[in-house]
Amino acid sequence: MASDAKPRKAKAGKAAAPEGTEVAEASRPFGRLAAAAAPYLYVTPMVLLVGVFLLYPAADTMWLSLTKWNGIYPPTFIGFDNYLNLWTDPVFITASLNTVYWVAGVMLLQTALGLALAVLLNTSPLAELYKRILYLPAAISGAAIGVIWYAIFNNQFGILNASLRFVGLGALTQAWLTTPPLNTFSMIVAAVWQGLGPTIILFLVGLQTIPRDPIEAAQTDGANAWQVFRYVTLPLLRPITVVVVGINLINSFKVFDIIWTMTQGGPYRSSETLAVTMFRDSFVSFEFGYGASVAMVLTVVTFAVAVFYIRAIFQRLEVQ
Amino acid sequence: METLTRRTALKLGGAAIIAGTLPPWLLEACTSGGGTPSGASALQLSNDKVTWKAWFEQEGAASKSAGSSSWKLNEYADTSTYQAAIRTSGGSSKVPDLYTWWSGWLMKEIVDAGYAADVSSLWDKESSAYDKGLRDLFTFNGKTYGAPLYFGPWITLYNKQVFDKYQLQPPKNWNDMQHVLQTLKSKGVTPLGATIDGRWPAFIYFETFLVATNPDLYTKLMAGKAKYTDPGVVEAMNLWGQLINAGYFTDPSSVTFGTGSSTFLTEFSQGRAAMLQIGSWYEPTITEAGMKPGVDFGGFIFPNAKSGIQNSIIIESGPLVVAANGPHKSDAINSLGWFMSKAGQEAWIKATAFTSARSDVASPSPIDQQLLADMKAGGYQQINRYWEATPHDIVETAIDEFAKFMLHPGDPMPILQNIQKKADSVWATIK
Repeated sequence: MASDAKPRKAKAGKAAAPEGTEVAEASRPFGRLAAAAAPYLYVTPMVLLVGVFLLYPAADTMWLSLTKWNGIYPPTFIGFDNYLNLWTDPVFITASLNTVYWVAGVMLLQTALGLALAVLLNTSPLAELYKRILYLPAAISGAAIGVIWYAIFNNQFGILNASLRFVGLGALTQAWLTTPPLNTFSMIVAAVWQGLGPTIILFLVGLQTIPRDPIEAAQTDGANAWQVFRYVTLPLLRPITVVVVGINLINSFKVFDIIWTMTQGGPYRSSETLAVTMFRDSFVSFEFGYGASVAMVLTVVTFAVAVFYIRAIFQRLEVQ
Repeated sequence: METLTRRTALKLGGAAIIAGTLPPWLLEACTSGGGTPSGASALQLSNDKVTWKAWFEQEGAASKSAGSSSWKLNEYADTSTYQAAIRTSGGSSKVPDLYTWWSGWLMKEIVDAGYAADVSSLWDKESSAYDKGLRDLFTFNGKTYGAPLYFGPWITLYNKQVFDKYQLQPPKNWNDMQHVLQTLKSKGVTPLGATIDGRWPAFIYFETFLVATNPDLYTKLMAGKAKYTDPGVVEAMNLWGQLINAGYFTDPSSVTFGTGSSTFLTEFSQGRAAMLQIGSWYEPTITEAGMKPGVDFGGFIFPNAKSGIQNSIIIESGPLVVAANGPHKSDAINSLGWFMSKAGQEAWIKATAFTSARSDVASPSPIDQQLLADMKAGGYQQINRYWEATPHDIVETAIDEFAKFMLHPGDPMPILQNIQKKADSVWATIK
């Protein structure tokens, strides 16, 4: 295909070129070389950026995960010992389980709530106002979100327990941030509160691009509101749902700031996720090799889930 | 057309998802350090004590006025990032000229790696002004590697107004202490402040009760010559657990020692909590909250819980270190020499209101003056704080286990076994 295109392109160029140009081009071999090299030159900066800031650190982290290194003495090669130790490390197992909670919790809650609120807002006369209010948390940093929700969930001084006591539901008060796995679920609520705005906006965009014809046709056929939503709106929202679920999936794997500001992964490392464990092992315990092995596991799992998810979606579309 | 739209959306989504997998690689990028050293006129001083900025600036200016170099600050808000920066740059010429650090095992690491300059000559010159025990904290294999940036004996700070209200006196023995605890509790005041916020405070009462019951065992335990499962340690933990169950501590999951709505300071200043075991460096924090030292709050040395044992007090001191590979090593040693001098310490203590480490420079706080007098009169041996006294890998495991005990006080043995398991693995690599 490419070999066919080249002569045709050259011929066209020859026909259109003024007299004398052919001689000039022949006398400038470097000009043709430069033209051939131009595309590569355009992408070189990005290749360098990716190489320096992604590929090299990735390869180095991979190497680091095969070593024992405290940041002071030169790393010692220990093979796969770090990876073998992971499977018997109760902190890693807890962090893995918490990561599953986060992925499932954020993906389900944020997607479901985001969709429900988007549908409500789509027909609300106050949609613009609510959109702004609901989007506000997304404009706040994760650390600030953590501080806000810490003040809500604090056992003794928190707004939540105080409110429960105030309305006579003192029996329902909990140690929200110090009882595992309740502390993880509490933080998931905080994360969902922050991430809900962008999810709603994405779903609203999706809802507003759905053509009216199929909805009106369904209504004419006697479908009620739920049936219209379930059998018309929801299928037509699938492309945007795929994006929303994908983004929420990845974000929940990466979550760090909210956990670090609310519990620092504690108490006794009970609310760590893999990202927090990676940080703590590397930069608090200074077991850089071990931390790198957690980073590798987290990356491989995240990448695998993302690729599996995308492939599954594409295969489904091809079947359709 | 619809398929095309879907595919486009999916491709965009796929790209976003793949892009989202990238950040874990930031692990590598995070290991790089802070700024680069400046010119010889200003020495680069790195630290993780951002709230001390004004004090460092005043001391640097005083250093320059005295004919030494000034200090240019390079601050890190996060201790972990700071430690990583020094660890990874300490062997290169990019290390700052001066940097703050921790004594004990954390210091041994950088000394063994050759990151700290020998400043024994400065101590020799000032030997009459500093306690030998303090110098020992920074001495390894006969050489001394840092100057005391702060000196903080650990004391029990108490709300004087609450004590006066219930006609209580600072306890001198364990019976007195039990009377204070019971009285305060019966009056609806939480006797002692405790928290797990920030993780490190979880070790406070472990070291307090072990030193109060068996200081020799504490010393041996720190050096790996005793086990966490030894009966003496179990006894100290049981005492701690009994007092937790008696309701003598604040909810460790609710209060913090910092600022904010849930800070212990509010409880303390408003008389809802009466005492706190902590380093004397916390006094300026209480003073900033509006309480006057010696008037609104006082301090005493935590009494021994058993009779016939050596009087002991936990001390904490962190060094200011000259980088062995720093670009202006000679200037930095001169500046540190001035910092240790009487003039340097007078300026530093005036700025910080810390407990003075020099015998010929008075501590501004009446609490510290009384404390130092009591230490001398009682023949107290100075014992290094848990954080610095034992290998940090053990500390990291232990503070999480202690936090578990604070939240769920019961049989301490499973907790002690977990710590000992870590200690065994750590000591096996050291001995």
